[in-house]
Amino acid sequence: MKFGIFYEISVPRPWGPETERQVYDNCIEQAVLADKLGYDYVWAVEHHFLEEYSHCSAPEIFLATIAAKTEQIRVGHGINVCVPEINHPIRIAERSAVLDLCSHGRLEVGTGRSATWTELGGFQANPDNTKATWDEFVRVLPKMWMQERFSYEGTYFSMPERAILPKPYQKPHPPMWVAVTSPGTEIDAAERGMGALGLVFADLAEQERKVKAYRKAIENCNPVGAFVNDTVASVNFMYCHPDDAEGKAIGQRMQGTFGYLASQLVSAREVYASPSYGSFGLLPQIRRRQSGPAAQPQRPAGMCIGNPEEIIKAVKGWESTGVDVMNFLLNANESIPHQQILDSLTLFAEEVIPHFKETPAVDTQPVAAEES
Amino acid sequence: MPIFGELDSATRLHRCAEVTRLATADDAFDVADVDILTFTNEIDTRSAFTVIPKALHPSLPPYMTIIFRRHPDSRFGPLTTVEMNIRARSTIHQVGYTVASFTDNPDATAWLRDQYGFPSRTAEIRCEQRYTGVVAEVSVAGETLFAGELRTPHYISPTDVLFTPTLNLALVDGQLKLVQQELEYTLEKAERGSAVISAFDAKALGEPAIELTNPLPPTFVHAREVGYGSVRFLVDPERPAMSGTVDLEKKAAS
Repeated sequence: MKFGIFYEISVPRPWGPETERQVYDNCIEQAVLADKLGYDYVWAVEHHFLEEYSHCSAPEIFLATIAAKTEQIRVGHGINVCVPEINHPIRIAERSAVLDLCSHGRLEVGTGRSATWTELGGFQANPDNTKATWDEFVRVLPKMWMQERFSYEGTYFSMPERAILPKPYQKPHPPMWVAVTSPGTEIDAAERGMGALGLVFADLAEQERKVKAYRKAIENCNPVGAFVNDTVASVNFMYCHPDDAEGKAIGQRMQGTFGYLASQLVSAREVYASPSYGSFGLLPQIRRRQSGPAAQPQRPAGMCIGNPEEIIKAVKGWESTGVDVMNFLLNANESIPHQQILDSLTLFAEEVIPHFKETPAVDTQPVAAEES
Repeated sequence: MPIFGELDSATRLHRCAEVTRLATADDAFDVADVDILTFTNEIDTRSAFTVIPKALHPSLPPYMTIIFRRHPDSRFGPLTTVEMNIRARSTIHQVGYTVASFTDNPDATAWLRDQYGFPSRTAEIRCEQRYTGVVAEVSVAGETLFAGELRTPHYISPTDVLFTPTLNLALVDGQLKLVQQELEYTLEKAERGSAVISAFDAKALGEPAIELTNPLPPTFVHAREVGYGSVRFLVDPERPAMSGTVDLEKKAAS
């Protein structure tokens, strides 16, 4: 089992002149500590226009800053939005290569397509096309990285022959991942030989089913890149505290804050009726009754909050589902003071991580240039 | 925390319905074969904040839905209704705050006002399916308040279309409350098209600040059945819904 930290970079109102800078500084300091403590990954999302929920619109810059201050932690761009109105694929290839070079081969490349109308509508992107554009992008990115010169005639973009430069430091290219939010996307990941970067809070049974389906499908994959990244990562909340009750209370507050912020977003599905954004799979559709405003979202089982002993039990549960990597959200809207996050990261590293380092993790990372 | 609405609800008292008897489970009934046309438009952000009660969070971006429901038969005979909602959040839940509501039958207008608190008015309503799409219009005393058209329809899955509960600002026992109405839909067929809005008179609707901006694709769905149920929640419009909500079922049970 490997462990990562995962940033949405939520910024609470009121927004003073120092608020965003302070939140970014906090996140960077946490990532630097995570590197020293032996965490394996730091991931950052790409979101646009999502007030409070995520002010992380240029993760490549955030990650480059972290890479410059750290030694071993891998930096995950989780994810590049593969929608032409938001990112041109050439720019994704170029930025990724530069980040891989500057981090000395520590980049993980996440891909996805955005799930909110707030973002897609803001860029005037067509939600009907995002699955197709994502598919097209992930098939050309490895070629852009590996071929000396590249040309392409496609459906959503084309280009004459050019040298896309620089090339990534990792050879043949950095590991590629797919954000898994909609049901069935884990199969899309597996069929393309890409890692499944879980970004929704599944319960243990659902996670196990997804991992099994992924592993089965990846056996017969047709990889889009030069190698298969047979890795499943899940996302979870983490708050580790010596006192279990206090740890749980603080962790639940974080989870509640995150859920509240997330529910304020305008999903593509909410306003734009499209098969591209997951149906409930019921025909005919029968509406469930609305729960009351005071009702809280259900707390998923297996949350990594509480004291180290309880968290070890939770992680063992996830390990039993076949998950290879656990990525942790550490805060939501700065509801937990920064120093407490640093303490939590430290306690987790000292008391929890050692329990999961005996088993050799799946090593899917490509060889760095100097070793090839 | 997310932004809250800024509306002083008392300023809308003049158009609020006075609920004489809240719909209960005994009042629940189903209507078969209902056609539902929904226009969705983003609206001006700053003005949306001023139109939404303090209990609710505006969505970002704010948007409005204009929903025509054509009932071939009902307890009032053939009936067409229109709801104009600004979508918002009641804590974590998607809701539509009703800024205007119409029916083409005075008895239905009274029923929606008396039992659900809709700010309903009787109007001339047109909702016609044509080969090229669906046209819809609402007018009062010869003045068109809204006219729109769904053009170039194509079939999509009914499971891709979502509806949300509505909250109506109304007088309940002499106090302003948001009355939550939830419909149950059994959808059979759905189409989506492009929108052409030819009239929207925000001033005549009583909310002159609302400005339609970015139109989204409208939908036209056929519901095998629509269930009109009881009112389950009352929300204080001046307090966050997290603390200002009464669950009527729980209250009745206790």
